[in-house]
Amino acid sequence: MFSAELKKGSLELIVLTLLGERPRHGYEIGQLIEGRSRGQLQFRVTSLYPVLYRLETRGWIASRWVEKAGEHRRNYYSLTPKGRKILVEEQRRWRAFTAAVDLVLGG
Amino acid sequence: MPDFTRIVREHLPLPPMRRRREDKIVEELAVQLADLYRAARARGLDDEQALADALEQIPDWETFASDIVSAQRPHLHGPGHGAADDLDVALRRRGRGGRLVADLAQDTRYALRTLARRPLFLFVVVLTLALGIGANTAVFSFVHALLGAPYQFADADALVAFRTKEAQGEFRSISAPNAADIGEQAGSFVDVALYAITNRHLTGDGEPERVAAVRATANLLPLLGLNASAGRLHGSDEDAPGAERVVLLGERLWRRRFDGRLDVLGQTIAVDGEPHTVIGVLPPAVDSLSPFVDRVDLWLPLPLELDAAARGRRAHFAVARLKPGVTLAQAGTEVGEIAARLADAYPDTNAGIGVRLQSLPESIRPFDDRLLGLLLLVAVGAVLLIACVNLANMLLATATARVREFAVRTALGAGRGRIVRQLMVESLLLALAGGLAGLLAAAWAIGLLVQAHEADLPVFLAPSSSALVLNAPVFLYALGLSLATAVAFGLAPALGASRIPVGGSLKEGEPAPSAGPLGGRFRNGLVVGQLAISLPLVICCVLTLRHVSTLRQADIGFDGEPVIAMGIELPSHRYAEPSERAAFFDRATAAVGALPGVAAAGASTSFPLGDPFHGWAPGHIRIGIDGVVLDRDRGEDYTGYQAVTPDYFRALGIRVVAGRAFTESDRMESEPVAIVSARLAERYWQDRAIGSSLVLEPGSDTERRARIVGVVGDAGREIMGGPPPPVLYLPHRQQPSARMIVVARAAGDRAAVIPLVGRAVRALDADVPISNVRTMDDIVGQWLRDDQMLAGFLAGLAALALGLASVGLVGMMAFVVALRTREIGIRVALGAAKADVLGLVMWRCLRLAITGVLAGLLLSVPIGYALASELYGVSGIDPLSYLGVTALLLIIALTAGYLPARRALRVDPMVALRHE
Repeated sequence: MFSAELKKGSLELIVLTLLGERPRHGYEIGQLIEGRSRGQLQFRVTSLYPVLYRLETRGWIASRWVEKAGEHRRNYYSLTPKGRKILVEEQRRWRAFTAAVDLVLGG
Repeated sequence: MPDFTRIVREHLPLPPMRRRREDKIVEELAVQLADLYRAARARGLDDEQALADALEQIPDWETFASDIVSAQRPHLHGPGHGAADDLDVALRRRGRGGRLVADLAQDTRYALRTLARRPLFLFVVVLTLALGIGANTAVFSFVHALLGAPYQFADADALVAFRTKEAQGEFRSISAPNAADIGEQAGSFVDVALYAITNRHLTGDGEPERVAAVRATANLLPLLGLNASAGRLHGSDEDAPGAERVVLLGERLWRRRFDGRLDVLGQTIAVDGEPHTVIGVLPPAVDSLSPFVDRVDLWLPLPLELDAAARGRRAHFAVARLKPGVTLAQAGTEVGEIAARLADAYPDTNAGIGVRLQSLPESIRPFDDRLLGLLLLVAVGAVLLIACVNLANMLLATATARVREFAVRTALGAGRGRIVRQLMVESLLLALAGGLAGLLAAAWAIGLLVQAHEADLPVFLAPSSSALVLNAPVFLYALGLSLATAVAFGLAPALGASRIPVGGSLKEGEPAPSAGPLGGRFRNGLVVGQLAISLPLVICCVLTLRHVSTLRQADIGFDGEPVIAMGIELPSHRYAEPSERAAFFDRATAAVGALPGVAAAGASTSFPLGDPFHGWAPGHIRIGIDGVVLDRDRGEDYTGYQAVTPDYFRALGIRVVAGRAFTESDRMESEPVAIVSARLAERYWQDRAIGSSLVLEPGSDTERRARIVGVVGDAGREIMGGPPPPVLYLPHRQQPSARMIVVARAAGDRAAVIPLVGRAVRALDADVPISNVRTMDDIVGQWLRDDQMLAGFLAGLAALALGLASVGLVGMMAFVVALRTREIGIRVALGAAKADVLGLVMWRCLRLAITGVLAGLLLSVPIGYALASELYGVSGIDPLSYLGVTALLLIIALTAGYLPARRALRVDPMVALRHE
């Protein structure tokens, strides 16, 4: 529904936001995106994981394997302090961006 | 639940990275896919659909992998959306440019990973290939050296050898004046060179030795395109009689006797007692000059005697080089015409004599050798074929096991071609690894062989065995063979695997598809093929072994077991008088005969079995018999003769059938006498031999009449397994020679006598060169050397073929039985007697075996017919051999079927039913 470019650009922000609430693993993130957007946003595994790894490489998020009883262990991602700072910054920038676009579109 | 870890690992083409990191990525993705799968199942999708649903998340594994990789690279630019994404896109685009290379690289990585995961399989396959390719490479390098030897000469096809045609036959030699005249008058040749092969004594520091020597005109080596490997060649001025004596050393002699020292150049050595200056070292290529000598140790100038008497003596070999553009046929015609003119000009010597040309490579390595080389290559190629069948079977088995992997890949869009390509890459890697291992194994094996048998091997296999194997043609052959092998064993499984139908195979427990290359029929065909190829090979081996064994035991006319022999050549400059020579051998035989442990000792100018010491060839003498016309054209006017000491017959155990042996009183001054062999007696005198006489060397200065005083039993053979030749014996005192073979008959322990014999002769004269002392076993062994080597080689091949075929059969049978384990379990559960089920399996096995054996027999019979003329004492279709080999193969096949069948039957039927 939304162009790939548009989706790609915002995925990092979405992931950071979701992780800002609490640590999550990959599958959970995917499910949340789909659920909260009421099916309008769907990201394939092939889009999600590169983003996760990229954010991890930059040091904005960190991962940890957690074992829960009766389940295979899972890799949980969480925000680092640096990541938290970036999240605040990026959210502010996003809101400014969309507000500016709204202005142009005639609001 | 599908094994997602495995699926991810197999499909995600990650580049090499730290194991832990790769494991983590794989694990995380596997967990993700598992979650998706479970979710899909929870939504009501079935097993297969859920898997497809989960895998739909990853449409393009390659791009995914490259995205992951670039995501993990530290970025040089700051955070932000656009720049990072652009970088990723840019990286991906670059990959797409070299698509094919990247694909092949990925296939290779994938193949390496797959192979590395099954080390046992890898080992077995590479080992099998190494054996097969290695054996082929070794044989090829041997044959290549064998047939290629004459081509060490520059432009060897332009070289020709002269042959003289006379009434008695055609000879490789020619007289010097004839050759010189032809050289002068013919326009076809660049140059003509002459040489003779002879022996010389080397004395001085080191043991006295008799060595092979070539006397040649100065232009011979340049004509062949050869140069001295050290020092210089001799010049035409040194060919003149009376010139300073110079000599070149053969490479082996130089290394052995002079330690390969360069300072030997310029020194003098004693050749036949005369000082000669060493001026150079010969290149190894000269050893292939003549099939008569194994190696050339000395090279001397050849002063040509061009007088009238010399024209009648075919004393030399002649080699010429054709002018560019002149064919062998044209030159041959011209030479024929010149020969006719010479026959007119010199009727005394040249009447009826013609000259023919033969290509030099052909005269050195006749066609028969090439045929033999081809046969060897075919035999060893058959072994490789059997190995390929084994491998194809093995790969088919593993392809069947990987059915699900291929199904998944096909479902994900990998084209059939892609799968085939990837499997071929696997096969190729295996084949190249096997080929490399085989090449190394061949080099090592040949090294051992050459070391062990250096004295016996023909000389072109020197000086270094690595030159034999690690040269360009052999390397290319091994490479080509590896590629062909990869196709041979890899194609069928690849094609079969790629044809997997998608739907059913994703489920577990599905039986393997039965059509196409993965099907049972095809594999049955492979087994039959293996048997069919093995059978002729094993039969050839058995026939050859029986041939050799019969030959070895063939009657040679005398009991040679206790006999030992050695060759002695008296230096002519110190034993110039014939009486001195005869006297020496009298003393020598007396001394040896007096040794403890020696029952009798004698000497003869040649040995009854060929020429074991290289230089004591049987002699021939012209004879005349009263009242008998001897056909000159059939060579009847000559007969083979031996000059012997009185005790010779006793030493060899040859019976005196009538009359007497020679005695002390048969001397030069007394009446000329002779003894004839039974065959000779029967041919001309029947039972009236004793008292008859014959004329020796009629028409010559030394014509004399000899009275026959005895008849002895036939002894010796010209060819093993042939009839005994007629032999004339003369007393050595009446026909003295500088060159005789001393034979001793051991009374008891042969080994104890051997060292004593040489010492006894040396005690008489320390400077007389003595050849190695040999036992009859040695001599017969050497005579049969070629046959024995061939038999041994075939035996090795046959054993290899049998081993491979057995392994293949067992593997095949085990797999077939495993497939049918469920069926067997059902039958047993339903009450079938175990014996009946076993019988069923065995019957199927037997049917297969019989088909294979029949096909093999069909191949063997024509081969047997072809070999029949070469075999001695055993027919080409010898029923015993054929029956024996057939029985052996059937037993192997049945055992191969029996073992896995019995094991399957012992399994609890309930377990068998659950087996998949």
